[in-house]
Amino acid sequence: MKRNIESKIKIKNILFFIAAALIFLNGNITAQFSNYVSSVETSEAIDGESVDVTVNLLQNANIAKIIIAYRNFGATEYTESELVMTGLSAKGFIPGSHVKIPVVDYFLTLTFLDGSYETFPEKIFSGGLPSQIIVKQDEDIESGILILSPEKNEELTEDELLVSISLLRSSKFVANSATKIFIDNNDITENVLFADDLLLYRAANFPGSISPGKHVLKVVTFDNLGKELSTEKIEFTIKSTRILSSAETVFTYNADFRGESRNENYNSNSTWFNNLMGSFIGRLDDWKFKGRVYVTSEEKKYRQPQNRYFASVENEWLKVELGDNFPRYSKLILDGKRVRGISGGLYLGFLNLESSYGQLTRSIEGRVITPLPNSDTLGTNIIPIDPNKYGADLGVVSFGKYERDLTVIRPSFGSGEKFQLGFTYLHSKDKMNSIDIGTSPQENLVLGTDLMTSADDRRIILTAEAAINITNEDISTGTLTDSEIDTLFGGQDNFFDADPEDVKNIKNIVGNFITVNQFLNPLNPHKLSSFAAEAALELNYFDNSLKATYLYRGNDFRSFGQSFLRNDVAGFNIVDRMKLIQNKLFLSVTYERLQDNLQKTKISTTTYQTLNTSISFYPRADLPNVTVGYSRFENFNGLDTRKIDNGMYYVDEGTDKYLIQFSYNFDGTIRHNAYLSVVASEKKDYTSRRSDGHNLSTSLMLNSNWSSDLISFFNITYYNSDYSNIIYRYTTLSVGARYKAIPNKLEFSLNISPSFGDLERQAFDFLTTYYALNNLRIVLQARIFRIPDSSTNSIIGITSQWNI
Amino acid sequence: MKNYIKYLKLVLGIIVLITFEAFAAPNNSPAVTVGFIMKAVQTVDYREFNNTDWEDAKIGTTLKSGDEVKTGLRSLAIIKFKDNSLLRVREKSLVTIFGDQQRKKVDKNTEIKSGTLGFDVTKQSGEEFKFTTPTMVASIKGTSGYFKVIDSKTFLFLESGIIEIESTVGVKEKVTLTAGNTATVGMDGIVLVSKASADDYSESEAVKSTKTTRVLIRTSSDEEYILEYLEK
Repeated sequence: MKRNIESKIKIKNILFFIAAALIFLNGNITAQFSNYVSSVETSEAIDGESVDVTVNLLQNANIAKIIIAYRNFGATEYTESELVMTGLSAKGFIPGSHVKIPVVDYFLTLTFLDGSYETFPEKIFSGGLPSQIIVKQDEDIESGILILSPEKNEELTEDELLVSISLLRSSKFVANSATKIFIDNNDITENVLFADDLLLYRAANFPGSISPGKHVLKVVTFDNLGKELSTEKIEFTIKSTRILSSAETVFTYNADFRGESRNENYNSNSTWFNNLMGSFIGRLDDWKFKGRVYVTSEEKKYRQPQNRYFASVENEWLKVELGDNFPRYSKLILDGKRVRGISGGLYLGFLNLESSYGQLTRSIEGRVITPLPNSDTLGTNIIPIDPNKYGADLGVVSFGKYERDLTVIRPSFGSGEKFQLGFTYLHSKDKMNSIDIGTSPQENLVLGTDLMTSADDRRIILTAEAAINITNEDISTGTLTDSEIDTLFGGQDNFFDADPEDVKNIKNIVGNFITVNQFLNPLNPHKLSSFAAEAALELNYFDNSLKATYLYRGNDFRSFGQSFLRNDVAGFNIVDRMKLIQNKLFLSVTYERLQDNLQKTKISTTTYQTLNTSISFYPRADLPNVTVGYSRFENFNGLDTRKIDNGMYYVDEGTDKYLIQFSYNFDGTIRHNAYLSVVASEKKDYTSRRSDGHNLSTSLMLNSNWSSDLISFFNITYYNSDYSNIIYRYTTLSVGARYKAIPNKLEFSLNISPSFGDLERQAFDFLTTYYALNNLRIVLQARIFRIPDSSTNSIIGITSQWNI
Repeated sequence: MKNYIKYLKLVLGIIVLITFEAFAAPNNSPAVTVGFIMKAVQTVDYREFNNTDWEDAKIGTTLKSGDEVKTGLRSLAIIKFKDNSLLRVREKSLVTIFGDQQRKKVDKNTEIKSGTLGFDVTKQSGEEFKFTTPTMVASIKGTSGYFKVIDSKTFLFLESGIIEIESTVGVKEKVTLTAGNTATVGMDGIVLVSKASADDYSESEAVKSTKTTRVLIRTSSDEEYILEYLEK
């Protein structure tokens, strides 16, 4: 009965907030609140295409790094990658392989200088809901607009630019003559030649109309009544041409420079931050040159590098990269982690060779906090210190960080279009003499192989990869001699659970590659604890994509090049995605079953089962797009609860999650874009701990285009969670506008965002952008951030950007 | 008065003639635009249907059904169709483009009178894409390759997909050509099919190559000309 009443209250709550949201249909929901993250901007998410992510920060003084974790709707495991911090923002992207209809879940982990961390949205690891990016279907199919030229991301000179658009495949309701063409929001339609359903615009006929740099071409179709039907966009780059001499090859380039200076006043501490950034892209024949520099006053000896340097040169068969780079090899071995050094690749098709060498972390010296003269105190952070320097033999210390270097080599066979077989070698080691005060320098060796083969024009794709590692948790004592091995592993005390002969065999095999001593892990590799593998078969037929994956990751699998993998898990995952009714209806079903305790290192084996289902409807007519989803997560380890000792380890819980999303572009007296999302989840814990919980996140957003110069934004978010009787509830309202006071010259943005409830915060943002020249922009930013009864903080900054 | 009546008769006669012409004109109605010139290097000319004069073809020149395109020495024309199919008309070639549009479907036919033509045809859904040469007709669903027509002999190299070919002279054979093969059709109508050689693949790459070098020429009177030529 009680449960029924609770359910009714819950349903009433949901209905109330949907109703409230609809009443406020000029409103919108923002994401969660944070003392560090102001907002997260993402580019438009199209199924299968990568999404750019920009995290706008309120302050960055104490942040050591920011990691984004993302997953498809239906996946249980997140993939993580580190964002690149540049001033008050951090940037990165979600690869297209992880961008699938209907949504991508993501959250951020902010790690601070003292080692602590927080997530955005909050409380992710205690039942909080991740943020979501709505994924749209491929507009190529939906809009029927064919952009014949330029090609996506094509680089060409102004006189080479021919914009050609075909409406041959567009809907019969499209009025061809009403179609509008924009380049960077500038309407160029009057200069476009309309030849039946073919539209042409040649830039050479309008010299100087398109400046060098990146541009967006947008095509919008309308019906006979003037109602917008569809939009198609692509990006391209206009190169500035410089003739070196009448007989030389043309070298084209584009360069950007940006400088930023800002003052942060946080908790009465005033700090100035200064950043300089430059980027360069050049092209000479087949060769492409790139360079990036970011220099910041945030670069400090006591933290990992904040400055970034990068230079590369490449053509179709050769690539050399220097500086801060994020190389991608196997997902299990090295995938997107920052390496400062050199990377390169030779791509001959039938044979390829890629390699990276550099620094994963730089050394940060530890420090003596308290010398302990004439003391024999024990402690994990008490170590012998230099008495001549500190006046004591022992001291309480803060350990530093060793420089960690890495070498990766991957030869592969096959171009990767239909077949590729690769082998990867990774070796990474802490440099022991890089610091004086440190603990347990480590070393890691990983060997892996990967295979990709496809058939029937990639309708059938088989991928497989496997890797095995061996890690030394403390190399400070060096490699053991055979007699030391006999003593340590074969002595009467039998300190370590390994046969000395096995250890000697390991030493003979891997001793040339890694330090062999008692801290080597695993010492029994035949138990597959350091083995990881994954195989997937994908079938794409009849607008149906079916993918089955089996994965195995041993308890001890570890690669220094990949910190984000979930270990001690094995099982399978099946995903089926269907496109129906001419790509108007999308169905998605995922089932995953994983188990841990592969090496029997735990008291019990937990089975993790996940079912995800979703239906998305994109009617393409004057109706909202709708997505409805349901997920069920179950974790169960089947321990016998009649045994007293088992009680605390017993796991038996289930979570139901519901998702409803509407997005709707509609015309009142003006054009509006509206979005409503309701996500609710309920967790039931069937153990004696009864850590039941539920949460509800409701968001409503409305962008209104009052004129080509004025856009307003309105968001409202309500968040309510109750886990183990800890209630957390707040509402955030956000109101803002962007106004072009003088078109192409002066622009203002204003945003006010108060939060009420268990989180009380008020944020005020003001931004002025002044285009001094076509290629010179100056931005003045002011931000006030108030925590009632606590503090009022401010940031004032000026940024200039110059494009050549 | 008689003059007025004569004048009135004349005007009425002209109106009747025009009206008759107008109603009798469906066969001469403006042809639909089929594609356009995407790139023109060196000497590329085009001639509109029923026109006797050749004109310079420039980037963006639209092509209607029946229009002809010819290229000169070391010249290249890239023609793009509305369905994103693409033709590379190499030097010393002459082709005619035909198209018949019914609502959202366009049947296309390219007549190759002489020269070399590379093609990259997108998947045709319920539409026709044909190539006609003096000795054969090829029906395509979505493939790439190239034709070479010399002295009434047609050579076809198929890089991907499948083509139905039919000789239109002599014995009039029908053959299905698969990727990686070539077909040669002479005036006897016999279709000789053979496996593509390394030279065929090499020539295919050359037909695909559209890379050009541009040279800026500045005269003593500070006038500037850009000369663009194909790279070997």
